Amino acid sequence: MSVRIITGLALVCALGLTFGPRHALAQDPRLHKRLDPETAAAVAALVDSASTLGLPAEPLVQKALEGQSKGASGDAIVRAVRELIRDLATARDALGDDVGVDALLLAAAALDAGATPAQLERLRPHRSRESFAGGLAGLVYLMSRGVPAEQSLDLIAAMLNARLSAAEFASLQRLVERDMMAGTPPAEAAASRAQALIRHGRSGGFGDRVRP
Amino acid sequence: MRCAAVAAAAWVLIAAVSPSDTAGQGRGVPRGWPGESGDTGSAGPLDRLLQEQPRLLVRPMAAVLGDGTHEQRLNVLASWPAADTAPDVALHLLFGLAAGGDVYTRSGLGVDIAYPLGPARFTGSATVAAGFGNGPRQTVSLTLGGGLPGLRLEVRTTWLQSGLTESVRRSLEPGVPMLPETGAGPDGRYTDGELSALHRVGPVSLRLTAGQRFGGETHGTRQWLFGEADIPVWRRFGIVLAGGVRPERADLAQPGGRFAQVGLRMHIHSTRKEEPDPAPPPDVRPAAPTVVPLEPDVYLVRLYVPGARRVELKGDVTDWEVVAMRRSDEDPDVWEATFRKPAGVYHVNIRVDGGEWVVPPGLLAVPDRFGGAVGVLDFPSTQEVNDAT
Repeated sequence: MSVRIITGLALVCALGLTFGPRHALAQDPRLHKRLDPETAAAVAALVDSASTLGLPAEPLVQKALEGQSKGASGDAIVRAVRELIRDLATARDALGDDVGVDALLLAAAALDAGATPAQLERLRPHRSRESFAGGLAGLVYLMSRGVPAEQSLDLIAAMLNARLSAAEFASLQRLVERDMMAGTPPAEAAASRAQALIRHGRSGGFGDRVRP
Repeated sequence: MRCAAVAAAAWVLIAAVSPSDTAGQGRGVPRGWPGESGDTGSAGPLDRLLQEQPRLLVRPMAAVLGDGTHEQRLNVLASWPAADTAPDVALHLLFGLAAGGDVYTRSGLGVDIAYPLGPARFTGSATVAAGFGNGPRQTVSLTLGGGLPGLRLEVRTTWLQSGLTESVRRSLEPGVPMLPETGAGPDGRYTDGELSALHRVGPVSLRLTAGQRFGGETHGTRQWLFGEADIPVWRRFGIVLAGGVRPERADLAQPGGRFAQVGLRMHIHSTRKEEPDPAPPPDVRPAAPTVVPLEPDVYLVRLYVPGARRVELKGDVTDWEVVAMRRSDEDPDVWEATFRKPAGVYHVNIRVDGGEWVVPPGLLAVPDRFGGAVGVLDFPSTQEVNDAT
């Protein structure tokens, strides 16, 4: 076997190792089965690009499938996937490369809800906490309820600092909802409940009791 | 008998005050589902039980027996927490009054312990009771059971002291003259195995129970089969109809054999419950979906959708294909579906009775980038489940 043939095979193997997995990922059969050929090709190309950037592919495929399921046009699907890639990349830049997929998705949702990259970056020191994704979910929730982004960030950062668990972040939403139903403004409810959770744990310190 | 009573009492005490919580501290109880208390803190099981509001279940009943005699009963059960929530640990104070051929009152203490394992639920209970009148002076019952939501097998062993009621004795041994009440009848023990099936037809609960007795001095019915229908009438009141062949229950002064019974079921809140609640809403059932980890990467999602005829779900967990949820056997207002997915955050929508696709109530809603919204559903990791409990 000549040196030229060996070199050629090595080159093919190297190219296969470099591009093979990504290409296989982009050829997700779900896209071609559920989307029209043009949209499927466009989404596949975006997924391929995102993979090159080191972004997770599955949320992008799911976003495309969601669009198809909701009757969105091909253009709308491609646009949604592109925006998600943008937000995921921005979130990763703000939070760091080592942040998990769940946290990345929630951070992208926070950006979509109006948080700025600089605001997200304030949570970066907490990214190694187990409850980090829960904290980001709490941030998205507070912002969706109209609590100003800065105040939401302050509260979530304080809760992360206090090493509250994911369950305690989940209870924040329940407690704030309860206060709001009783007429308390969202920002006030969020502040008092977050502080109480930090002081007293999951009960929120207000005699909250899940009755049987 | 004495040993059994001591063992049962020790079990009750251990279950009530053990800091390790023999019920597994709500293992398998999902966040937000009844049984998961948000403010348990470091309180022990007994503290937690006492923090719950007790509820009173009152059941007056009247029955016609196979020999034409009549029987009236009144059972009262105070529970912490209420028994209808299927708690992991429940404490009961019970009182019973039987009248007819005999009069017998019975009062005691019981503790239930449950352990959910996937869709199955295993339970144990111990009851210690003392009686006055024409029946046993002391009774101890230990029950072990398990089953799926619609099917349940129980084995119950009962120890009693001071013998059978006179009506039971008379019905079982015709021709034997009634013994004078001495208060010191024979001791006894029997073990019952019972299989019961529960089926719901709309709001009506139908239960069919079959059983077999092992041991004991029973001379009459050793196999039984009876049915019960619980028909809700108004709010917390219902009518319970029952009939068939029932076992002799010496511990309840209950003669065995054919019977037909009508009763009332009344759930009465404690006075504390009637006090103004500073923290509404009072709905005891979760509006938010509940996620139950069944095994690694397998999750059961439960939705509380009252009055729905059909509930469908789609999301990342289904590749956005529509799946129909199934109605729970335990509660017609609860809908369930099982998903095989790794722990993580997923987006979902639901549709009720063919309506619009919406965010399931109680879930965090985020924009879907298509002009709508999706709910964020969290499949917790093992670590998160441990944190939650």
